[in-house]
Amino acid sequence: MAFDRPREPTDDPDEPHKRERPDNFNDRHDDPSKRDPAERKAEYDYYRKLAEAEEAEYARREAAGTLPDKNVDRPQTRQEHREQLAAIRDAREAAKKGVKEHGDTTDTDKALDFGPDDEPLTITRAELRHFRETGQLPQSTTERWSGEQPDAENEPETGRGWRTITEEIGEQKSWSSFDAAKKDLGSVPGTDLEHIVEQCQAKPERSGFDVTQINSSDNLTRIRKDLNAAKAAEYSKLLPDGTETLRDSLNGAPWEEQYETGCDILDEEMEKRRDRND
Amino acid sequence: MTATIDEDRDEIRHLWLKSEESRNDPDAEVANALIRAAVAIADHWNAQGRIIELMSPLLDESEDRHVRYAAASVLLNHGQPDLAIPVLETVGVPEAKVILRRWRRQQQTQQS
Repeated sequence: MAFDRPREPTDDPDEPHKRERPDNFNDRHDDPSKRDPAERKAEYDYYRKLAEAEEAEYARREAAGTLPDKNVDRPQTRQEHREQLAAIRDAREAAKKGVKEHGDTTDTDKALDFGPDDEPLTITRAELRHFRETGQLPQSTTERWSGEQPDAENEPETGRGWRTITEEIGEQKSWSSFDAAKKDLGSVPGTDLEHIVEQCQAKPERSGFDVTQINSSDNLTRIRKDLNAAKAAEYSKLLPDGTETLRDSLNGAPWEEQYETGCDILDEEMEKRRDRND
Repeated sequence: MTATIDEDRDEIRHLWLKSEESRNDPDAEVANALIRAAVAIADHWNAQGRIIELMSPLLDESEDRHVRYAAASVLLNHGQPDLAIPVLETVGVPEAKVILRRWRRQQQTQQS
């Protein structure tokens, strides 16, 4: 793959192109046509080596499967922003068409009521990617655009009262950090993005789980803020024998046990809310 | 005047139910204070060799499941697995499974 221009050298000592630099590298205001041909050739050779090192590094990462996710790690360009707006417009038209053609069970008036055309609508990168791949909007997008908010009465498909991000976006993904996940998934008013197995269990002194496993779509869920607070409080509570908190008692426990515990706690908190609302 | 074992049993039940009900308590400070108070009462009667007498009635199926779970946890911690495990296995409280697994891991570590 060719690059338009080589990246500027950085202060990172591991960068392979940092080692050799022409002496006149900083003389950027010189007229190149008036410079010594040997110096010009040296500068050209330097930039050519930069580009070759960049391409070699890219090929290495591509072979290792460790290329950064462009949609997460790069700020959006104007072109991407224009494409996103066009995709939003197309997605709205597709959703309306889908309701008309396929007889969606959603209330038609509500489904078509996406608000006035000049009302800003959001779509996360994960939802946009899902739409591009499948031609269908994820349920999270149509819910948000039609003004629906997740609550205890509107049960998600799982019947549990909550669902993982995998179930929400229809694909499995993982992120290198919680910030990257939050940035990619966006926010929904009144809810928090939360971990089923707690984030702190990535610490070596606790369980040492891999950060990408902690921040995988199977381990993330979008829940109401009060439910999230209740889960956190439950983990901070001492066990009845007074020896340690629930959180500390899970240190070193296998992933499957901690995952089951997190799901059970969420189920119990949902059950308590249903009982109170009855 | 010191409380009788029946009065302390009622007090422990009350403390556990209050700790379960506490809301707006993000760090569980209130709940943990209540639990520590219950633990102190249990330790007092354990020191007199009467922990089973204190806790056994709280295992009854007529009790709230969180009270049964808490009583079973205390008994397991005080060396009464025969009384505690059948309750912890069936009580249907998520933390009960955690306590059972932790106890079994400890048993395996001690045996190895």
